[in-house]
Amino acid sequence: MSLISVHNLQKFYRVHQKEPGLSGSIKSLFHRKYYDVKAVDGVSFEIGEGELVGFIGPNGAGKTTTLKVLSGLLYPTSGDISVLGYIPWERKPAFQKQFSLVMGQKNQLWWDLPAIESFILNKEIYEVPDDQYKQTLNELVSLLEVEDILKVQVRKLSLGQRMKMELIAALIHSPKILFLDEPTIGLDVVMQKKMREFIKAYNRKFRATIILTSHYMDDVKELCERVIIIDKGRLLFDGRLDEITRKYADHKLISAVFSDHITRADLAKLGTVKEYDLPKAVISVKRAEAPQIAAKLLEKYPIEDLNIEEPQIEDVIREVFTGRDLA
Amino acid sequence: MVNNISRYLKIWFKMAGVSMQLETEYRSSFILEILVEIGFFVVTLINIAVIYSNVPLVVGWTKWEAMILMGMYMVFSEIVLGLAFIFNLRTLPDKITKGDLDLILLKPIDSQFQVSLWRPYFASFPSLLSGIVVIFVGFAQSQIRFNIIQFLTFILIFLCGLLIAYSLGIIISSLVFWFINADSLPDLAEEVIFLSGRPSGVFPGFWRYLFLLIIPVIIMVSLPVEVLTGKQSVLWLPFAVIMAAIFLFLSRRFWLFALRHYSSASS
Ligand SMILES: Nc1ncnc2c1ncn2[C@@H]1O[C@H](COP(=O)(O)OP(=O)(O)OP(=O)(O)O)[C@@H](O)[C@H]1O
Ligand SMILES: [Mg+2]
Repeated sequence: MSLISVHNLQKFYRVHQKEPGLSGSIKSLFHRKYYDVKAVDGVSFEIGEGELVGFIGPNGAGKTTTLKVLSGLLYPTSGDISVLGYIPWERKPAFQKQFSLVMGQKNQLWWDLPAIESFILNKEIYEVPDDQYKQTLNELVSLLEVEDILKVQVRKLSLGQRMKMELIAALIHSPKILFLDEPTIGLDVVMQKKMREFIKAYNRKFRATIILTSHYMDDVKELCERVIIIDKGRLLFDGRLDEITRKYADHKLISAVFSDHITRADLAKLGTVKEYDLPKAVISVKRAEAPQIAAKLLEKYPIEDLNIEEPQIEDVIREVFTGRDLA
Repeated sequence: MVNNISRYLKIWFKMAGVSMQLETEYRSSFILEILVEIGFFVVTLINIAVIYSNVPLVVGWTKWEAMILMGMYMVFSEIVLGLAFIFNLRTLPDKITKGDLDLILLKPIDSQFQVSLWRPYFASFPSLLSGIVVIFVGFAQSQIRFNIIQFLTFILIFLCGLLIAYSLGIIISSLVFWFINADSLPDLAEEVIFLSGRPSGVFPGFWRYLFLLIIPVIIMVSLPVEVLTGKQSVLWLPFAVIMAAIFLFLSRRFWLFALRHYSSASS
């Protein structure tokens, strides 16, 4: 059964054109020209219980807009959307108590108070029973290892510590669905890793359904079996992460360690040279021709080691995006 | 319903606690605010003294009656500002531009409540008290007396006035959804409500109808005081109640309409 179902979602922002200069702004007072920004333009997907889905795309692709529609902040321009059986933008309290939206750039905690005060307030707002609150809080606090800083004013916390607290505040009512919009933004590598571990553990432990957006491919690679890629408001791909490579990468990488000298020009005859740092070199070749070229290499040159590899997922995705850009 | 009210009250008291903690967190500025309020109070008293040093009556009000009106206005405006404006409606434009309104709309609790009655302001409490002192002085010095009917009617009309002021605040501040960067809209609402400090006699003819029916600032302070001091009949009560109901209803509809606009445009 799908918890989230999105069918042909469109969201256009209506913005008015600003003409330069004073006369322009006076003119636009009386005669405004409007145009539509097609932030999301016909996106459909279904997400089932307990899934952890990566939602990726370049800047301005429409990720945040989609998450805002799913959490009821925006009315869609058109489309059928159902989340937990509710129509999100009706903003029914019964619906709102079952999900959380965490935006990496926005904080809900009271800046001048210890985070625990914000948790208590959320407990009241979400009507969490006392014992459930205590249990959830304890679990989250120990998962995120923040026992010592619960009573420290939020403004005195580091960005990473604050993000952990934001997560607790968002999870204190045990939401069934979690929308995470760039939760690791601005964090250092170590903290990013900790966040990822937490998200994974939370998903496993509570069978929470999670949609995650991120510009860090490591987040997606480590966390999400399934990814949805959108660009310019349109869906490009929806499937398993490893399928992206199969579907979009028309080439493979052959990396070899040579025991004798080989010129760059010789390699270039076989494929595109990606790396030339003897004794190691990497060339990119057409997927179908990879076995023959590898055989040819082994036959003609003295080789210590040879591997045929899939290209990096980052590279594939970058190619997908830039390819679309040109089209 | 009853359940809901008690839940909202509980949250309000929780927020009041939070607000108290935050205000005392910066103790020096808290004390400064109180000093400013007292200075303000002294200035208005001097103002009355100066005005009445030459004339015995202003639009039919004696000096002591004017003091009662003044004190009542202080109580009224401090309640409205402290509960609905200072930490609440005043911050609405900022919440919209920064996107913090989104966080509010995510919560399973009424959004109007969150933007208008969320965090009370306590530093205005002293001037509320001084308003009460002024009222007592006014009554003690004048010969005005009232009966229990007048008193109860006064209380009810005063409450209606609070509801009307609150509703006007919501309506005017909500216009900010259409005018981005119109940060001063809540201030405009406050200025409108500040008109309630005048005795109704200063509004002649057309103005009287305007400020009684369309922007009913007369109902807020002047009318209840006039009922309490016997200048007007207690029969104004049903009118005040109906006006409060109408304005409350309108403000609710307008808030929901404005939100609908926000969510479909969201800029
Ligand atoms: N409030 C708004 N008014 C007008 N246009 C908007 C508004 N919000 C977003 N847009 C536009 O809609 C498009 C999609 O924006 P959105 O924020 O959903 O992208 P995103 O995928 O989250 O990007 P990023 O990775 O940079 O966060 C962009 O072209 C953006 O300029
Ligand atoms: Mg975004």
